[in-house]
Amino acid sequence: PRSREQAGMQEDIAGDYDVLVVGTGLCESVLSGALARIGKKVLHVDKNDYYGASAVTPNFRALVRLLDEAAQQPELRAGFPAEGECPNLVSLAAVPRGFLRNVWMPPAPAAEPTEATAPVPVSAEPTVDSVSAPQPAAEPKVQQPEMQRPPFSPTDRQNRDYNVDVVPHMLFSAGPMVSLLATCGVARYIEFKALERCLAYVEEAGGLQEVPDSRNALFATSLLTLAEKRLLMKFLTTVQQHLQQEAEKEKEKEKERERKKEQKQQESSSEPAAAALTTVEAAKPLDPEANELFDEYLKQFHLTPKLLRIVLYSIALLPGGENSPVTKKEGLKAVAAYLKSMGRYNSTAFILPLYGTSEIPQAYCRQCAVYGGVYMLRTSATEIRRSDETAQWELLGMPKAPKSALEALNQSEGAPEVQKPVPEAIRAPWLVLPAHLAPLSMLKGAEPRLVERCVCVCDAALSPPLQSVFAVFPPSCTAFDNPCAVHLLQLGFATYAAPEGFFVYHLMTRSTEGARQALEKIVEHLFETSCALPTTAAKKPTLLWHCYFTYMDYVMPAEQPPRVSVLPEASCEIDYTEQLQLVEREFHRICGVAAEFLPAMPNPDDYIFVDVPEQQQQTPEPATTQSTEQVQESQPQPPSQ
Amino acid sequence: ACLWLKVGVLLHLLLLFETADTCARRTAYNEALGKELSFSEKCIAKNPKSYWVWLYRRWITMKLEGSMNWTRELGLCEKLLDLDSRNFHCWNYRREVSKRAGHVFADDLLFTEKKIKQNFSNYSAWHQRSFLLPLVYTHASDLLAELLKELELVRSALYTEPADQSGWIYHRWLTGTILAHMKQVEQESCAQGLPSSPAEFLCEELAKQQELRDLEPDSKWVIVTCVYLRLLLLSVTGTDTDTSADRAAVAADLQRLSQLDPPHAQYYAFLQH
Repeated sequence: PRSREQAGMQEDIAGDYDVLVVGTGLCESVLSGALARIGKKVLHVDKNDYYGASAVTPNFRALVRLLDEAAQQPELRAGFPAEGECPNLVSLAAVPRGFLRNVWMPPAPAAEPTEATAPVPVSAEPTVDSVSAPQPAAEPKVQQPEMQRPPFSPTDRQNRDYNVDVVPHMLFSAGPMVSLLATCGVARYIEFKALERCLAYVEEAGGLQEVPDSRNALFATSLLTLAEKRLLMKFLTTVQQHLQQEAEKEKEKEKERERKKEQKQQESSSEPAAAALTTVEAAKPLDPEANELFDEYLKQFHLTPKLLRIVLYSIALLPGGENSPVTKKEGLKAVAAYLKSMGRYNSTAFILPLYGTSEIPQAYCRQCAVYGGVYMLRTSATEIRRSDETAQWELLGMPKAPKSALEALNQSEGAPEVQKPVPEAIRAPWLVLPAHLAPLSMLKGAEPRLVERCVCVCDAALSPPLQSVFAVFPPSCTAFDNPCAVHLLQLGFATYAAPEGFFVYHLMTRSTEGARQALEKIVEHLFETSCALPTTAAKKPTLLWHCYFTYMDYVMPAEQPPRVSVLPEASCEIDYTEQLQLVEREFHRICGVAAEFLPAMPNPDDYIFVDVPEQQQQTPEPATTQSTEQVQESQPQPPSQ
Repeated sequence: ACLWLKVGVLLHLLLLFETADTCARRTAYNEALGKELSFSEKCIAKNPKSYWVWLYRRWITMKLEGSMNWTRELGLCEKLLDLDSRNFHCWNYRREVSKRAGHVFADDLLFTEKKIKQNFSNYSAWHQRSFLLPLVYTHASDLLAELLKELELVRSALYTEPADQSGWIYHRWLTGTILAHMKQVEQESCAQGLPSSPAEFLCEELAKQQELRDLEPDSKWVIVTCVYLRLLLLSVTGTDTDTSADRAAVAADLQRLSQLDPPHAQYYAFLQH
């Protein structure tokens, strides 16, 4: 830790940094937290006045604004726009390359009923238009007398209570994100709530049913025949045993590695530990079963189609459809992640952050700031250029004249930007940026992946009184014709996703031909969309508002340009496993193989207060290296199953 | 041990109050007992498996007969059983409390069902069920119908986890009781949907067990139950039918069992005769 002058607006931000991070999305935030934690000097900028960048959790009106902006951008094909970009220039002022696209929202309450809505990108016309604007009498869509539901418009107070994730996520209770949050201490900045129930759409049973994923659930369920119960239980126990064996093998290998490392260190004290690690890694033999397909592996269990769908789409949470076939290793890993997390906090395998998913990047940014990272939201910097002479990235385009402090305060709701004249440049040898800002040349080998989304606001839950519910619709349900698995996440007041009495439903699926139509059919099936007065007691939740959009995720290649880390802004997995792997990989690229990725929090009891002659030394020095190692060893091991 | 000496002393002191009949003495006595009650609660929380603590609590509740809050006692039992659903001390105590509280048996039955749904590997809950069912369904034919339903419930447990013993033991009790009641019901009017004879019932049950055995050929308990059912069948069938096939099957099964379960080999050898 370097000695810094008083924190706050007086900080001098000019100068040389180790890493310049652009955008406060999840990957960037975790990375900047990790970098600051081991002592790197980090400058983290974002042009927005909120954390989370593209994967933000806005309130209702902010969401509508975001989608409006995205809708008005010129239609971009999936992929990359035109050429003409300089490889050494990153333009921050440019419009980000279409993270959100294909937006549909209910037409705004128009004054003239005949006015067609503005350029809404062409997608299949949803059949639920009758909800909003009044229809011309010539083509009545509703048979009943004109009953118009007033357009959905929450009050100011209700609006504030909405936290609608653009990119929803759940966390595996025993997954890598939870382990990381717990060990490095970032978890103190966030609160969580356990998911209450997991459902699956079972065609044979005609609707959403509880997933029989544990012994007790299997016993109690009426969904399966006796034989099916036995088969599924057998599968689950076999997989558990297999995973236990694998875990033991891993432990053995770890011990081997440790022993070899110690041996090598004894032999030649000058040999760096990094080299020892790499040589042992290279010697790992190729797994002969590496290419065995998961489907093949499952045949030995004689699972019926109903069971197979439960295992593949509700337990392994695979996307299905046209996606490349899953290997046995990947499949087992997915099943393991689920089984390992079940029962940790409650009977489900997931927890949810309160106030939405953008709490997580925010928490990591806080960690970064605690360890000396400098933050600049609402940055007015326009570009980042790499100078050929110094091979450093420079942040340019900030205004010269300082604004008055009062003006700065009036403008911002969040952290006011430090508007100081920048005589010297802001430089860093390494640049971290999100894929949507990266010039084409940096995205060589990246594959775009599109996710079809739908957000619905309703006045009731699917199965009251449960508030947080997750449901899976397996691929190719006859009723919906969905090419890939559709995930549904119902959130309510319990996680502060909506005001009391309202519920937000997130639907997600891989975007392919027919994906959006499938989502529309599911919405039609689940919710009451017509304006008709309910004759009997309303069984389905009433759909008050909904929207569709697509967002783009990238699969980044292992090979990245030198001195740059390009990170995806979102992902299509339900947890953060892939993203964390990527962040850790980039972290080691920046800091070396031996650097510790978000080590455990030092034990406050190990702090030694040293009497230092300089009066600057106000913060207590953490204990010397020896006892820090001790601390890290004595830290309770993150629970691993 | 010292602790319980203290308890003994207290008991002795309280015994002196037994003979008190003045109002003041009585209230003081009740107060003292009340304090002892909360004290024993703490002891139970710390030592839920100690015989003495539970006995002591029993004694206190007996003394406090009239002014006992039985609902609270039941609540306490439920909480303790949530923590450890197999604590037989608690189950015993709960039976006592239930009786004193005049609790309806049907509610108790629902409670056992709840506990079994939480975790069916629970001898005490199944046992309590076996205790309550004849009390709830007093009429023989009702009981029989109910027992047959129970058979399906326990079968779900058997299929989910054939290695779990508690289900099998309950199953054994069920088959025995069903046979016993079938004999009774034969004398009364025979209700519809029930198997017509013990032999038929046993054959059906055997067939169902065989289905499970096909799925799990190496599960010891399935084979033991098959042997048990066949032995019952042999005891029920008349002397005129040919029983050699069944006897051979039993012998083969016992042979298999000695291989699968060597610690009980002598038991299987005994059954052979």
